[in-house]
Amino acid sequence: MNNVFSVKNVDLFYGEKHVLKNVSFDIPEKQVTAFIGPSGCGKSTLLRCFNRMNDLIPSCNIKGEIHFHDRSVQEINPIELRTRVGMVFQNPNPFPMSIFDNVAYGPRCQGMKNKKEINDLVVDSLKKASLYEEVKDRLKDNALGLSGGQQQRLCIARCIAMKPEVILMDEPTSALDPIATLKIEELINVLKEEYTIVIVTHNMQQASRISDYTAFFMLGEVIEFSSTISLFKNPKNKKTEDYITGRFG
Amino acid sequence: MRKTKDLLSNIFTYLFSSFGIIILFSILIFIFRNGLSSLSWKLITSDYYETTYTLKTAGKEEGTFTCPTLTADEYFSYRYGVVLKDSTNLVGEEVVEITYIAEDSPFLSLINTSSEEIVSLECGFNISKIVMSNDIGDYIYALGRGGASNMASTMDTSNIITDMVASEGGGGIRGSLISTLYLILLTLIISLPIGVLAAIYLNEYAPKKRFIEIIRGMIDMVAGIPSIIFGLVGAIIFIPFCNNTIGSSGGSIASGALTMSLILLPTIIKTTEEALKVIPKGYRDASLALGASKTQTINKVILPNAIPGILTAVLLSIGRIIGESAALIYAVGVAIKDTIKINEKSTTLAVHIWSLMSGENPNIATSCAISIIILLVVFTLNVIVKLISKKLNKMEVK
Repeated sequence: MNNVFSVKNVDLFYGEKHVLKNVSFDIPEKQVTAFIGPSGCGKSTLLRCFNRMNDLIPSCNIKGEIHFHDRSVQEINPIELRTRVGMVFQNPNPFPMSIFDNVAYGPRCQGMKNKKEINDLVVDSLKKASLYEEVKDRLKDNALGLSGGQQQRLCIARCIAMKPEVILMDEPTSALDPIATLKIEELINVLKEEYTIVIVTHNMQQASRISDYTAFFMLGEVIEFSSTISLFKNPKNKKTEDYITGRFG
Repeated sequence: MRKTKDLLSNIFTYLFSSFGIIILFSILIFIFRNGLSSLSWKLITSDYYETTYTLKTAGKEEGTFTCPTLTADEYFSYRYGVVLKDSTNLVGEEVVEITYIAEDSPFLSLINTSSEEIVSLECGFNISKIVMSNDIGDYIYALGRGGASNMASTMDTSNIITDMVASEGGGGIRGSLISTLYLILLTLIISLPIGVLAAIYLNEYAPKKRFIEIIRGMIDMVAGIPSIIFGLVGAIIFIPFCNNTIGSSGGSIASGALTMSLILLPTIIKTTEEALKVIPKGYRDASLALGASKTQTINKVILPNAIPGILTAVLLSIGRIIGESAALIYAVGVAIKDTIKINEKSTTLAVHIWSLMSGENPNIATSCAISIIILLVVFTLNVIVKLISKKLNKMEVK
């Protein structure tokens, strides 16, 4: 099995704060990998290293190697990297423009001009994000008028429109109700046929439902990384067991 | 004990707040009472300088006219068939105004002494001087400041009018209004791009370093400098600059606009920066994560969302330009003009008031009328600012 990302001995500092400590593991292609762990343990931080969003934080300092296929992410132009590695954020954040323009934003920024092409791409992306049927009559309406769950699926559609290889999801359902969450989870199950998905979640049931591999983080360290079934059925580490059984302090 | 303390502090609160409100209202009442009677469409649309005619009779004989119904301060000249009335012109001087002209009156066909053209006086003309000769050939005068009663009776004792000076219009603020509009437009053209781009730099590009914080502090400080100091800067730097570049001599609207731009920059930068700050971080992250460059993010996402804030800055600036006087006395000048050119001296509305009040006979009525116009404009702008801020806040919640 091919690895999309391989993380080797990564240490990350925010100023003086040591956020990630000697993290190493590989993210397999076209699988769902979930990061679980308590708040502030560095899950989202590692996720943001994959598309270099941490570059925006001036005090952030990374040591070690993160490879995207066989190139170090630090050598890839961040704009190119972000077109290949899409990201969905915790809070649905569509732009205050029309639904159509939201999905077309990324391709237009890349210089796509042909109206027919853009139109096809938008419809295709919305269909893939299983949002098209709900919004096909009001593509010109402001995206902020959608419900929270619809907004998040719009964000996923916006991400798919870039035709990425990897989709990073930073707690995509934590701001949504259970029904919207279910829809997103179903969507993830479909999307993994085509994309590699890395998802950060606080919800262990969610991780066990949707992911193929799970990494358990604690205090900046990866305590355990293995296939989801084995991590939840027979955790090798005592800390992992405590956490997933809810006995963790 | 606590009750008395509460009571005392309550009494003070009510006392001082009502004191403040009463003072503010009395100012408003003063302005409206003095200015409302002078406020008219004519004031806004007419020239400041009156049109003066030096006239003589066209030889048409005067007759005996029948007197129309007169009000208390009107006087009728039987020989010439005109009704004269004591009134004040828009500048505040006492004048004799014609309020009625009979059909066959010689005043309907007078000859302009300089152009030899026939001029017919109309109601609303002012007569400032008449020279007549009486039956035995002596010259007699009647002056406008002598009053309408005196002028009417003198006219009836005369034989023939040899010379008269009549005038029309005058005292209007059209010129100053236009120059204020020019100043607003020119100032915004200069200061808005600079201010908005500076705010974008400070908020989006500038490193979070001490140096930038010092610059921010200095911008705040500049906002607090009295405007007369900017007027001095304008006089020392911008007036010579404009004299050399666009051929003005002394103050001009152009140098005034440059000075006002300096005054407004801190406001525009601050307001725009506030607008940029409230744009949710999620928009930036989303845009960058979609592979947009920083410039694309700013142009496509940040700036469109900052437009309400930038509009607020524009409205605040317009209010400031209308209200500014001290700096403009140097930079634009105090000469009231009717034809406005960008490279010539003129006055804005506020300086117009200053000019009216600093003359020999201060004209409180017209000044108050102009104040009402300024107040109305500023009030309207404030309402618009409030509405826009409301909209802006609604967006923030989402």
